[in-house]
Amino acid sequence: MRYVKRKELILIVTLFLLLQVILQIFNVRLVTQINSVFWILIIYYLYRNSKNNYTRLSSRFYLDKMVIISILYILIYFNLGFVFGFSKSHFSHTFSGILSNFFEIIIPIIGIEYFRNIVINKNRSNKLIIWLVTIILILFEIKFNMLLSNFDNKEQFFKYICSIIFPLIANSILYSYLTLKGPCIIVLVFRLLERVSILLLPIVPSLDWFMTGALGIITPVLIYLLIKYKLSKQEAYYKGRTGKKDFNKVSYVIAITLSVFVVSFMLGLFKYEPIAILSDSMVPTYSRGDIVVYEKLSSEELKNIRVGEIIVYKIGNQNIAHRIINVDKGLGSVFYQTMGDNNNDPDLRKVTPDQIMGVYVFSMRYIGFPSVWLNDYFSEEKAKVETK
Amino acid sequence: MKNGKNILIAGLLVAIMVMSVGYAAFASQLNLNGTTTIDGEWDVEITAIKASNVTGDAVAGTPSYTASTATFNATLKKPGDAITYTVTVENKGNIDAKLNDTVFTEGANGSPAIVYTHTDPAATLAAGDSTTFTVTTTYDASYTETPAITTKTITGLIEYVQAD
Repeated sequence: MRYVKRKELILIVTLFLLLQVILQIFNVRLVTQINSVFWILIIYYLYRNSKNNYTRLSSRFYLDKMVIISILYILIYFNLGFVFGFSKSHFSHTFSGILSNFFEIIIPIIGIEYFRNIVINKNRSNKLIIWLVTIILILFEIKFNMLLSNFDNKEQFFKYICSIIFPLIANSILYSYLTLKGPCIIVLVFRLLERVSILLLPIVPSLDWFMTGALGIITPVLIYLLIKYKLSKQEAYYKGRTGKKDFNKVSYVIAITLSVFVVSFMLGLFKYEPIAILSDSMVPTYSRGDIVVYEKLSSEELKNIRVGEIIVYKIGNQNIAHRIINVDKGLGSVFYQTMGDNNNDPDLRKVTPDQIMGVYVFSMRYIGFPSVWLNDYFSEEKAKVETK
Repeated sequence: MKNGKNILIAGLLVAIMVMSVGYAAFASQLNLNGTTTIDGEWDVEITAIKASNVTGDAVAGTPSYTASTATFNATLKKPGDAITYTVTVENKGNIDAKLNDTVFTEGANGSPAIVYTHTDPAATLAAGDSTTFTVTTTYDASYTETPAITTKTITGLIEYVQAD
């Protein structure tokens, strides 16, 4: 009897999901409100019909850890603003604004997590149901109207997928894992602290799409590893020496350190930064598809650039890495004449010191090709738009 | 006792957070830029810019845009030349927006011969809607000779926030 009820519930939620996807394309405002009402009904229904709260292991143990992890995460997130700059929050801070955000954003989160908790904890051993619920809830949280409105511009679409959809998938899988291991309150603590602080604080760090995506993917992986590590320690404690060691700390530490390093490197947080080479103008030093790593220079170091060095500079939206063949020193101004090793003529426009991003250090073969292909793909799209 | 310790840790962390954010909000040297951050709910962005009206011998360069900036280059050859650019702003998110601020500032050392006017985008922008505003640059018709400086930079900030 109980099983039928659960099945029906999943069916209702799935049907509503389909309805929501269709509705989203027509009227956004209405959908967010219907969505909230729907989740209030689900919360009420689940509350009335489920007596036992499954709590495995120590829920207190989890709650303490999760509160600290959440606060640490929020701290790190907001302090990233000191690196990337802050921008004013676009969320309303009037009483009615806060109330409507609570209704339209917070209520569905509570509903989703409560639903996840009930279904997963009643099907602990059924992996299929757990994955199914996770996928349904991922689809629930994807804003299909926003996804579709970005669809006509390939570049925007790519950025949207990377910064919103990938983190959403990673997070949802983490939430299911946490729910499997403990009560839903720990997921709610994390999600609500994060959402509420973003909704209420007057300024937010202005992270670009890459940082938003990287943070959104690395954070859930990190939390997953942390909880898994704590659990394996706890289990080893209970099992004593016979407990098998299934958590390879070293490899995880290496993986995390490496991904944090790669992200920081790509973002240009270090003195060295990479760019992908789009043309063959510098063959044989480096060619299309290579990665050139350049060293960023201070205004003092800029003065020491000599003829023969390869500089990376920016003209408009384009990054170019060519060799200096001449330096013109005029009245208080310096111009660098550049040329590609493989070109017959010098570059048309001379480079001014403020356009220089850095000086070539070394290059790596072929690993820039994915970036080059993506760039080709996006610029094709741009060319199409411009010629329209 | 353990519970009390945890509350203390949590309280301290919250205090640090509030302080650091507060510091950021009030520090005068901090540059608060109005760019929209990507968010799961909010997405108001520029989606097009095009030259809509060309007067005289003016030549419209190819305009470009990102989600939060629109850039154009116009060549005005003689007094009376003018170009109007139309910028489209779209609310792709799920939250209704209202216009909070429109600030147009001229860069230093711009040519006095170049004048500009602009219209404002819609005061409210419901989720799913779009609006346009125009910027017109004109070579002042009262100038009879070529001025010493022939360029000017104009920066416009269009800030949308959540409508109550």
